[in-house]
Formats: sequence, structure tokens, C-alpha cells
Amino acid sequence: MPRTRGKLWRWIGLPIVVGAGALWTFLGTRWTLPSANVTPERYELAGYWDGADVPGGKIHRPMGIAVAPNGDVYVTDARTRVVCLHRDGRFIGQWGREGNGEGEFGKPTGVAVAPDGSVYVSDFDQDRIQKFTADGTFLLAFGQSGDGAGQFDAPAGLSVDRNGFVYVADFYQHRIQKFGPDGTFQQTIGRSGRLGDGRLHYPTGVAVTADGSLLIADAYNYELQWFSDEGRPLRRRGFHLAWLWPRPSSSNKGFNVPTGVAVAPDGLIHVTDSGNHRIVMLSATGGYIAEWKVPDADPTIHSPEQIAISPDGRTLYATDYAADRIIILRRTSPAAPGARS
Amino acid sequence: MKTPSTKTFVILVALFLATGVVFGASPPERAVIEVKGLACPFCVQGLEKHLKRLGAVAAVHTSLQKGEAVADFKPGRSASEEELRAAVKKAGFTAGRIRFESKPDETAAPEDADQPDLNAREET
Repeated sequence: MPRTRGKLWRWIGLPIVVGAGALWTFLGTRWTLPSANVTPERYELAGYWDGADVPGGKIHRPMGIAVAPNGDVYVTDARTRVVCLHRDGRFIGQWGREGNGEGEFGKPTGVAVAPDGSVYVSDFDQDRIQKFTADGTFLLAFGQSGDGAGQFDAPAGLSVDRNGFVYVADFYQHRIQKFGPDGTFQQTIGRSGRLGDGRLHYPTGVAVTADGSLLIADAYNYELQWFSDEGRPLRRRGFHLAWLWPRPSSSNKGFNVPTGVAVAPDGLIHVTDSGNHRIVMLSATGGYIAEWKVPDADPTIHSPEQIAISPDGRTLYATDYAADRIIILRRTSPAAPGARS
Repeated sequence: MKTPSTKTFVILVALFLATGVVFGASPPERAVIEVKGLACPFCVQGLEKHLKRLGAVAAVHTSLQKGEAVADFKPGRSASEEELRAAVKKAGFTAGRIRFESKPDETAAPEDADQPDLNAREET
């Protein structure tokens, strides 16, 4: 390169490129998780449950988890069943076996409990939702394979709002579907895509906030997304390169395959960031507060999967698929009523 | 009559054995599919679901540690490599090498297969 051109590049061109790159990176992190300015909260490990006293075998590859209004914990696992545990981990009951009849499953995955105590279970393989009483008596089923309204391709996580409406993450169809308590289809929320508000890419987890908003673990957009109860996109939180392109992150700026989400009564959000093998605590608007990493996590398996919270908002339960156990965490400081950031 | 030479005898025996191999060969009982990127349990469930949709597949076992899915065929049936690759692609993955083989001894448990020991389950 001629000497003059080399000097031009060194003193003008290179600083411009470096400066532009720095500006691009800085501006590109606008949609990362901002740090929240709230009362410091932390997680502490309360223990693990492996279901050693469960008839028919210990918990194996648990996926879905939910907490009932009375504190009982429901778990789905690879033994094709729903297990009910007391809040102290003692076995209460279980139901389910392989099959396509009432109370039978192909791959029970998501589980949610309604305000009246009824239990909804999504079947990833059979593309349907079954509803049971709290003790496992079959009530009704809805859904079938397909891409139409009320049809599914791999229903995953689900949640029930205070009015009894059921929201189901339709994994392969990149959408959320809303149903009445009797299984009648209401509406579709979100649509397939990587860029922009309202676009979902393999959603796996659903939670309903105190104000009725829908919070989605949008797993392969590496983000959380909020929707209004009418299905209008509200906000996204995660790492987005150049404002748009969702990317995995292992820092407090984003997620790596967030698969489950739960919202406490005071609004704090808890996320199973499965690809980072951690549980993350966020403010009500998605600001990073704290995290807890799974010790000795198997690096080849994304885990934990889903998360649920006790009625008082102080205890978290997460399904650790890789280690065949339930993780129990406690928040370490008193919940401030109506805490928001 | 002239006695067959040793060379002719060896050729006849080889042909006889080859015939036995051809007509005695049984169809493959399973396919072992290498799949990269198997880490997320939801995706693994999806992979199993798409493979099970093939009419010839009876069951699917995945190993996250090995990065492979094993599709057991129904008796007397099998799926082609193209069908298997298409099913894996629909699940969002790309299949690597695919091996067709017979099932191992049924009394031996598959190595670190991601399946529960269903025999341990009691009736409730």
C-alpha cells in the first residue's frame, strides 16, 4: 500500500471504523435487560426434591410445574404422569398413563392450576389440553393437531388468569392461544417471526401478571415478551443486536433459551434461563435484579425448564430436567407490597 | 467325469455363503441418527414427535449426551434415509450420519438413553 494511503487509513479510517463499531454496539444494546433499581433481593437454595417417596418411581425428566392456591405442587415428568406434592415435598397423589383416552397422555408437558383448583395439562405429542379436578378426575379435553384456530402443534407451557381463561404456548406454530374455562377458543396472540414486537419463535412458557398482561418466555428469540390481555404487544426484554436481532446472552443483559416464567404477587418476575442453567429475578418491567446458577449443571442439557411460585410469592419451584429433581429457592428479603421499578 | 479343482470348490462355497447372506438378511430394525444441537428438552420432544409421525416408527429414544436419536421400526417395516432426514428437518434440526442396524439384545439397557425405567413403575 502506498505510504500516503497507509497514513490516511491509520489516522482517519481506522478511528472512524472503531468509533462506528463502538457506537453500533452501544446503541445495539438498547434492548438489553436494564439493571433494576429496587430493594435488593436474592435467592437462597432451600433444597431439592427427587420424589423418592413417589409410588412408581422417582421424578424423571420433569418438565412442567404449577402451584395450586393451597400450595400443592403439580409436576409432569417422563413417566407419562402428573404428580402432586405437598408444599413440603411429600407425595400426595399422581395420575396418568400412556394412551390417548381420558386421563391418558402421550407426552404431558405443561401444567397450570386455575383459581378454582382445577388442573390443566398440555400434551406435546397428542396436541391437546386436558382439564382435571385437583385430585386428577378427568373433566374435559380440547384441541387437536392442526394449524387452525384451537388446534395445536406441540402445546407447551400454559397459564390460567384470574377469570379462568387459559393461555397455551403453541410451540411449533409460534403463537399463544387463549381458551375459555370450557375449552372454547377465544383468540390467537402473537405470530411467527424473529424481528419486532409480537413476533414469537418457539415460545415455551406463559404467565399472567397481576394487571392481566400476558408474559411469554419466547425461548428462541432469547427474550421475554409482554402482551395486553387483548393480545397487543407491549414490550420485549432480552439482548437485541442493533435493536432488532435477538441473540443469546450469558450476561445480565439477556437470556439463552428462556423456557419458563412466573410472576409473584408483588410483580417480581422469575425466569428459567435454561441455556444459561440459571434462574433469573427481574423487576415487573424486566430489569435485572439477581440470579441463581445451578451448581454442577450438565452443560449438554438446557435446564431448568419451567418455574412456579408459591401463593405468598416467597418460594420458587423449578423443574431441573437434567438432574431429575425439583429445585426449591426462597427469596431472602421481605416482599415490598406493590414493589415496582 | 473330471473332479472339480480346489479353485472351483472355493468359488462354489463362496457363492453358496453369499446367497445365504442375501436371502437371510433381515430388514433393519432401527435407525441411529446423529443430530447436532440437541440440548433443549422441548426441541428433543419435538424431534421425537416428528420421527414418531413416520408410519414405520414405533418408538424413539434420544441421547442428549451422545447427540443422537434412535428410531425403532415396527416389525417388518422401515423408513428411508430421505424420510428420516425430512422428519428431522421438520423438527428444526439437520441430521448427520444415519446408520441402519438391528436392535441390540433386548435384555441389555440402552446406554444413557433418555427413557425412564417403566418396569419400576407400580400400578396406582
